[in-house]
Amino acid sequence: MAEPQVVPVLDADPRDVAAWAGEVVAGHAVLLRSAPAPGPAVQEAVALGVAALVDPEDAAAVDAATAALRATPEQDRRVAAELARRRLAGARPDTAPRVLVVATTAREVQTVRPACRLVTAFSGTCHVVLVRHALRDDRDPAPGAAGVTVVDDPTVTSLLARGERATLLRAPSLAVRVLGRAARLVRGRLPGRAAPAAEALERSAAALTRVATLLDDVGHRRVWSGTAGRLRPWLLARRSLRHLPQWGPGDLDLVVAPGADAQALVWELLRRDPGLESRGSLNSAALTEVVRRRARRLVTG
Amino acid sequence: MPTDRPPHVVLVALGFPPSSGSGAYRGLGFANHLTALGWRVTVLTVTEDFFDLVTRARDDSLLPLVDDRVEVVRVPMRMQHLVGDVRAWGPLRGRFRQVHDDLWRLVEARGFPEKYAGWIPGLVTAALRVHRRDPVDVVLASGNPWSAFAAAWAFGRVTGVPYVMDYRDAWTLDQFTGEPAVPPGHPAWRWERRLVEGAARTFFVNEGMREWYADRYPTAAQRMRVVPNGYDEAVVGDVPFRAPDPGAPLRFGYVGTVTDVLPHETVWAAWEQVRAAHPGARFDIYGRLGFFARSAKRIAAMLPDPATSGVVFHGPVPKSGIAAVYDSLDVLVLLIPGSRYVTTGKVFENLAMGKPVVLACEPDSDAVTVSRGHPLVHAVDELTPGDVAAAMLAAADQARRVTRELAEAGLEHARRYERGRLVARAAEELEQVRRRG
Repeated sequence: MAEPQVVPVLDADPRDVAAWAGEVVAGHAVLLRSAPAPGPAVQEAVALGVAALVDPEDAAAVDAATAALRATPEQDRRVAAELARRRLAGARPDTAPRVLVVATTAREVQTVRPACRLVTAFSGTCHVVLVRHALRDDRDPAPGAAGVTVVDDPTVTSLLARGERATLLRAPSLAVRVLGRAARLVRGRLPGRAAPAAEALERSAAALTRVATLLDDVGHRRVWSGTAGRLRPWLLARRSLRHLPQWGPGDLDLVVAPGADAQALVWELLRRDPGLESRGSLNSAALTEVVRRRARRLVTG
Repeated sequence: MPTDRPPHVVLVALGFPPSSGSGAYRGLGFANHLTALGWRVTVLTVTEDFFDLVTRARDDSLLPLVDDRVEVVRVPMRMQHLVGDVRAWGPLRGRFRQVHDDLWRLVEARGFPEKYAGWIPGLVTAALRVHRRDPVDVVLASGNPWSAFAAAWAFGRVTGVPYVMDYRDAWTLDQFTGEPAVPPGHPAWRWERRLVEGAARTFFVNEGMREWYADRYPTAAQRMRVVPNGYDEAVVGDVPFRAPDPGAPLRFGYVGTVTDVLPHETVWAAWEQVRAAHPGARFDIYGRLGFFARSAKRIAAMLPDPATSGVVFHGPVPKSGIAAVYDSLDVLVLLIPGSRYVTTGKVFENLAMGKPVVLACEPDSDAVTVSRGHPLVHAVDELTPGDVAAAMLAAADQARRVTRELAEAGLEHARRYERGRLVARAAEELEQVRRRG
């Protein structure tokens, strides 16, 4: 293919798709008038670099878009031409991105909210996994999402875990506190001539109080939080996988998981579908790349 | 046991082609120049997948530069814990990442304190195989990774073959702050003492590092030497003299790895002043962003906006293109992290280009020491935007007036740091070690 000829501005209106799709089939690139909500075929053509959305009054933007269209790799132009040919023949090639988004904290929910909007604006499908304790405000946590799976917080819902925590950490601390109080009680009842024994009891009571505080504090932070923190990603992955649809290889294009807790879930998903991509965040350039990849796969099989 | 056969040295170096990391050039230089000096060289390095999976810094165009007479043995490394790509993780790391990391920390605390420690058994086994087939006279181990030192030490314990440690970077010293890099009581201290005191020689890339280590390990101080990084004519290629086009704006440039410890803020503030005096001037940056792919985004954010600043990041350059890049620039600006313990290998390359060079670094940096007397170098009294801008403007002025004679004088200064000469000095030390057994 030679360098593409760039066709002057046409409307991106669905009724005119046939007109510009014909240009793409002929190996040309087209400038399309900016539309508020371009459809999947337009987005596909833009992602593949054979169409650009411009304001025809903005000469600089038109020049820049023309230069960019001329630089599109030949492989992408061939893919775009083939897809446009199929569309003109009545087929509906699906290049809309399919994305799974995971948020485990309130902050991550804020991070993924724009990602959901972006996928939806790209005519894509967004499925979201949210951990219940991350849903702190009333706003729609996943605007436009096609599916939302809410997973309970694995650190608080397990009764067994609560019982374990009470037995292993709270009970020893309580026992030590009781001993300290008993020592103080006994000391208060000693006669005046037993002053050395009373002092010893006071020292013991103070030491026992310190031990109880240490158990409460260090025990909780180091032992309980440490263990829960290590198990949480795995529990999240297990619970999520149980509730998520059974996607086959190629059904999902991208996993967006900004937090460390979602890594086990990402690992499980990638193990099932090695072709899947994973990212910590999402922007339109990354999504464009997903569309391009999907389009290439559709054409080349 | 000196004999008539050529001496045999085993070079343990992770940084070796096709690695495109800065350490690879030193490893390559040692291997090639020692071979040229009559040594038989066996290089123990890592398998090539390490540069794809872990560092993601690979330049296959460096492979043909390895002398055909050098035997290269690629030893696989356990790198499950180093790989960033989730797909390559095993079940333990995939499902319980923190437990996996805790276990590795435990292994490090109990065994050799480095994440590359899994490489040591393979290295020792490979060295023993080489030794059985062709007795080794001396082992030269280049760090980091420090596991290379530990392998040389372990091999020496088994066979009695002396080893030489080559510090490209410091281990227990934070070169950028001058403070210890590990806390007191850390096993790295114990290991370093053991290895340094057992080494027949210890090489350092600059005098600052040698002094620091000599103070810390006085019993080994007599065996410590400085072997600067230098530059390779074979790698840099021939950059002919070229005066800047009088009608065109000047092109400033930096060639090297862009890290977050470079004095970005100061240099880019200075660059604004230079741009005001030289409208249309450009600042081209060639190199990788950080040593690992994961840091690239953060470092890219430290560079000014190319649309408004004239600072353009071009990315890494293969070896075959490096001469053309230097040729295209009029003024070389070296951004160097401050401290007397840091030289940066690129300084020698820059000195050998016959172009004005601005040293944007603290005045006590070793880069200033090695550049002293070079007629085209512009150092600063203080690392401030004002001083750096003044140096850049002076260099720009000199670039317009530079003559072939001045460029030749600069090259003459640089030639003392040609890698072949430096390796010849190191080879004398290796020869002494070999003769003493």
